[in-house]
Order: sequence, then structure tokens, then C-alpha cells
Amino acid sequence: MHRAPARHVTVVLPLLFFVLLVAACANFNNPDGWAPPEVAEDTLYLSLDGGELSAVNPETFDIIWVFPASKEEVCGNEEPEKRELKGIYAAPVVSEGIVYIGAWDGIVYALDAATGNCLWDFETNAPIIGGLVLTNGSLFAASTDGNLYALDPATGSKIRNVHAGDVWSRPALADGVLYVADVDGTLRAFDAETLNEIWEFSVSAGFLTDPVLLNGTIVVGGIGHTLYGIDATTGNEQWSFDGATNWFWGRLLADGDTVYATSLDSRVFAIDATTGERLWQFDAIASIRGGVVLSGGVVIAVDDKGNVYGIDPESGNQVWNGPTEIDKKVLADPYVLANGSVIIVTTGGDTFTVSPEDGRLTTVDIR
Amino acid sequence: MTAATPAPTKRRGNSLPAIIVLTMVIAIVTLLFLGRDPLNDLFINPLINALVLLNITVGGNFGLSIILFTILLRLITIPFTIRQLESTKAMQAAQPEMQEIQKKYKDPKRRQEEMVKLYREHNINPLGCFMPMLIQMAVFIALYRALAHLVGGSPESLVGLSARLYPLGVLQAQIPLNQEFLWMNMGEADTTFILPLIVGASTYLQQRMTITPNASAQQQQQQQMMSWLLPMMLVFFTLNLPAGVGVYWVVSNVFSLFASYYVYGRRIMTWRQLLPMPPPPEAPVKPNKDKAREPDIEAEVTEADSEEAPDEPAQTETRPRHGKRRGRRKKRR
Repeated sequence: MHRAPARHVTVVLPLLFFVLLVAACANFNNPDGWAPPEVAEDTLYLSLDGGELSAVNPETFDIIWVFPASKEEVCGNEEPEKRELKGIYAAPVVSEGIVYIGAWDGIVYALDAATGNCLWDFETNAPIIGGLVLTNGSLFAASTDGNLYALDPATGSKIRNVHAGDVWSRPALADGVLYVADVDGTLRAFDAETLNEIWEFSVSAGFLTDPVLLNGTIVVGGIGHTLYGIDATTGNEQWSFDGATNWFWGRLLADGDTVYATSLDSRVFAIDATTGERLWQFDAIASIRGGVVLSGGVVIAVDDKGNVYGIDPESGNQVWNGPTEIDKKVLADPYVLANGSVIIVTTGGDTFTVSPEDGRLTTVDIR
Repeated sequence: MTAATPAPTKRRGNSLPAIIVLTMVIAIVTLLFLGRDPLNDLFINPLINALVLLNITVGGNFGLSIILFTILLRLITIPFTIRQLESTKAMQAAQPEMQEIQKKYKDPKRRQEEMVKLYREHNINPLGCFMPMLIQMAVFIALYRALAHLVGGSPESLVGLSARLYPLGVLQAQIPLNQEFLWMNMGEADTTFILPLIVGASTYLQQRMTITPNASAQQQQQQQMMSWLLPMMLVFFTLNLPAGVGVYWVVSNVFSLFASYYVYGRRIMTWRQLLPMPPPPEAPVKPNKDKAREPDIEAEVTEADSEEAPDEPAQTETRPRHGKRRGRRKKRR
């Protein structure tokens, strides 16, 4: 029987629509995490798979343990519970045989560094993206639920909490003062003992980088394409640098009077931390989410497409013969191992080391 | 032909869709030539920035921003929507004659010719419903992709957003967006079932309102199936998609309901139309009112068609020959 074209439309278009919809679904970004590698107490900690932390022997690269080891984990004296961290965005903090991590599931975990067993957990009301900070008596965790929590590092019980905004970065601690930057564009200074606010500094766009302290100046940047130098004592702006055309997000590296910053417009900047003047600028091929490291007198940067660059810290010129190509997506900060080589973890969990002398690439087989 | 029959009005040229399509093709080819991604540059990125801009106007509530965006979009595309509904309405009115043609002419070519004539007489554009549907589909996919960046909920999605956001301070200051709206998070699926059920109900109503009342039994069965199948599929997808997409769908459906009411009027507000009641027993096809008023044309056509198609029974002929029904054009709003 002949049917009018409009009748076919009622059948074909919805089907086409759903085919396209299913195709579009594949592009949704789930949290994977980009925790940088970290060596502490003779163990290398890596997040190779979204939502997993691996403890690895830094010499042999043998895996010691993985957390969570199974879908259900016991934390302290609690009942076994389903654990799905989903993503870890900051390096763990390790002290006295305990590993502390905050995860996308909004929970702070304390793990036994020898076995990976969970000692305690503390649940916040939203994902934890920024890193943790440990002092003598407190473990500080900034959650995206708007709170900065001070926890007892031994038991995980809450000592106190204070409103600190939606924090995506690791707070800086110096001289008993915590500097916490949020994505609404406010940098706050708190007394680490009492969590009383000392001062705050606000701009219109959010902060994404970890604040770093250098010669009495807090340097922080983020969404507004601008890097700020703020007096650590008063909270007054000392300088600002707006030479980027995209966001600052990578971990800032302070060395001497110089701050090295990366931006998502594929640039590496060397900035005078006293004046905020640009010393040099290096243009990469792709955007750079991770920060830079300094090893063997070479600044090493990795762009999002896995191109690794060796840059002269004085001139900003490339020191190797072109970038070393990993050809995989890299969002995590690189890390300098004890032997001077730089370890890089891709988003898929592949691991490489790069020699700072010549940029030679070595694949790391983590078993 | 009676003297009172008005002269046929010349078909209005409808070049707007063609101009739009041509412009888009030129833009896409140009961007491809420049090594750019047309999908991102023409659709996704402008949409992302428009949504962020609207977010400022509604006080930083992204749910309201999506609602305002949907209303504005539907207002902009209202000429297409009205045209689609009018085309559907005209199609419904011509259903008895279509069925007659299908019964009468066995030769597909001849049947097609007669159908084309019928479309012309009733001022029906069988492809008239394509443009609004294509716009809806394109916007839906683009909105989904935009939401994945805007309220993807993960830092990874913001890395992608940074390259898509125009470098304007007012836009940058909105990031990250406030995703909370009513009981929902615009970047996460609504697992309370409330939004998916609203999406399903509004889609069902919208489907029922455009159903063809005097279609054949098979067509009615097909429409009946679609009026259930589409809402059920959307409920399933809304359960798995960011709530922002569901909010867009609900507002869009409500807009369509108002548009249907505007075109069809109060006659659609019957329980039989809105609820899945079984169709009334199929009655023999009757000539419509217009035909009843034109007995002279009927007779003339029966005679003429019986000459043209001697293999078919003359007594089934009720449709006038093309060109003899002037003055029967539907009143247009």
C-alpha cells in the first residue's frame, strides 16, 4: 500500500534521531582524574586507571597494592562498602606510613602505606578535586561542597570546618596560614589553627591553579586568563599578568624569583614573581593542562597531545631537537624521579619516562 | 466550471528554507577549506556561548538559561513550526481523497501523479515537516554536546570548554556554571523519575495532538504505535542524559502544544484525541463537505476519469480531476 512521504517521516526521523543521539552520547566527559605521580617514603604513587591509586616500587615499577582492591572495601571498623572513587585529581599526601587521598566520590581516604588497606574515611557532600594539606595536628581537605575541613589525621574525625568556596585546587600552607583559592574567583587566607579568615581577595573569574607562595607573594591564576601576585600578609594585589589568551590551570612552578606557568592556549610562561613581568614565552603545539617541572637544568612541559618539550629556563628556547612525541592524551602534571628522569602518565594510564638531557623516551612497564 | 469559482491563486514562492540551506552549505564548505570543524564553529560553540550569555540574564541559574534558550529558539523557528502544522492539517483534510487514490489507481506511477496533483490542490508540501524536525534534531544534538562541555560536571569537560568559550570577561566569569535547578542537577540524569515522566507525558500529548483523525486503519495503528513508542524511548533516554536536555525537551513540547492549539483550535481537546481510545469503526469513505457542495464537478470528473482509467470501476470515483476544483483551496490563517 502506498503511503505518503509524511508517514515515512514519522518512522524514519525518530529512528535517525536516536541513532544520532546514541552517537552523541559517546562524547560525554566522565571524570577520569589527572592525579600526578608522587614519590613519598620510597614508594611511587600513581593513578593509572580512573578512580584507582597504585603504590609502585620506584626502582622496579612493580605494583605493591591498588586501592580500591575490590568493589567493596572495609574502612576501619566499618562494614564492607562499595567503593567507586571515579577520579583522583591531586597527588596523595603521605606521612608516617599513611597515605591520604581525596577523590571525586567526595571522600577523604586514609590508607595504610604498606598494604593499601583503608584505615578510615571521611565523607564530604561533593567531589574533592583539590589536593589535601597536612600539618602537625590537622589534615585539611577542601571540597567542592564549599567547605574546608580540618580532620584528625589519626582518626578522620572532623575537628572543624569553614566556608571556603568551591575549591578545585590544593591550598598552600606557609607560616601557619592556609591560602585557599576557589573557582568563583576568591582567594582566602585562614589561620591554620583556628580556621579564622584573615583576609580575602576576589576577582571576577575563578581560580584553578594551586596557589604558590614565593618571597611573600601568593601567585595564583585561572579562568580569567590572568595570573595574580598577591601580598601574602595583606591580601592586596601586587601585580597581574594577562599575557595568556586562555586559562591557567597547570601546577605553577616556583624557582628563585621566577614562576613558570602553563596555559590552555598552548603556552609556557616564565614570569618574574616580584614584578609580574614576562621573562619569556614558549609556544607549544597543543594546549597544556599540566604544569612544568625542572630537572637537569631543563624546564619540561607536556602538552595535551603528548608532545614533551625541553625548554631552557633562561632563554625559553627549546633545547632538544623538537618535541618528544608520546602521541597520547596527557592531562596530568609530570613528576621528577630521584634519578632525574621525568615520569609522565597519560590519561589512559600509559606511563613513560623522559630524559631531561636529550628528551629520550622510555616506556615504563608497570606490572 | 461555474463562473463564481475564483481563479487559482499562484503558489507562493517559499525560498527561505532553500536560502538557509544554501547559506549553511557555503559556510560549511568554507570552514572545511580553512581546516576548521564546521560542527563546532557553526553550531556547538555559538550555542555554548549563547547559553552562557543567557545564564547572565537569568541571574546565573543554568536551568532558567536552558528554558529561556528553548523559548527563544522556538519563537525564532515559529514560521517553520506553523507551516509544518498547517501542512499536517491540510494533509489530514486530504486523507479521504488520498485513500481513494490509493484504492483506485493500481499503477504506482499514475498513483504518484495523482498524489502530486492532490498535494498541489491542497497546498500541501509533503516535505514541509522536514525543516522543523531537522532544526529540532540539530538543536537537540548540539545542545547535548554543548551541555557535555558546560555542565559535564568533570574537570575534563571544562578543559574542552576553555577552547570553545569566546574570550570575553563576562562569559568567562560565569564558569563554572551553577547547575542546580529545582530538584535537579542540569549536568546529571534525574534519577527521581520526575523529569523523565514529564518528558514522556508531554511528548505523548504532543504526539496525540497531531494525530490524523481520519487516517486509514493501518495508518492509525502506526500513529498509535508512534504515540507510545517515542515517549517511552524519551523516558528511557532522559533517565540516562543530563537533566538539562530533558528540560529543553519539556519546554519544547509545551511550546509545540500551544502551537498545535493555535493551528488546530479547540477540536483537538477531546479525550478520544488525547487518550489511547480505540478508533471508531471504519466507516465507508464519504465525500467531504466541499464535495457535497460541488455536485456538478463530481459528475464531470467521474466521466473524465473513467475515460482516462477504463480499467477501474467508475462508481468508486468521487474525486474531481485536477484543475476542476478551483476555489477549494484551504483557508490559510
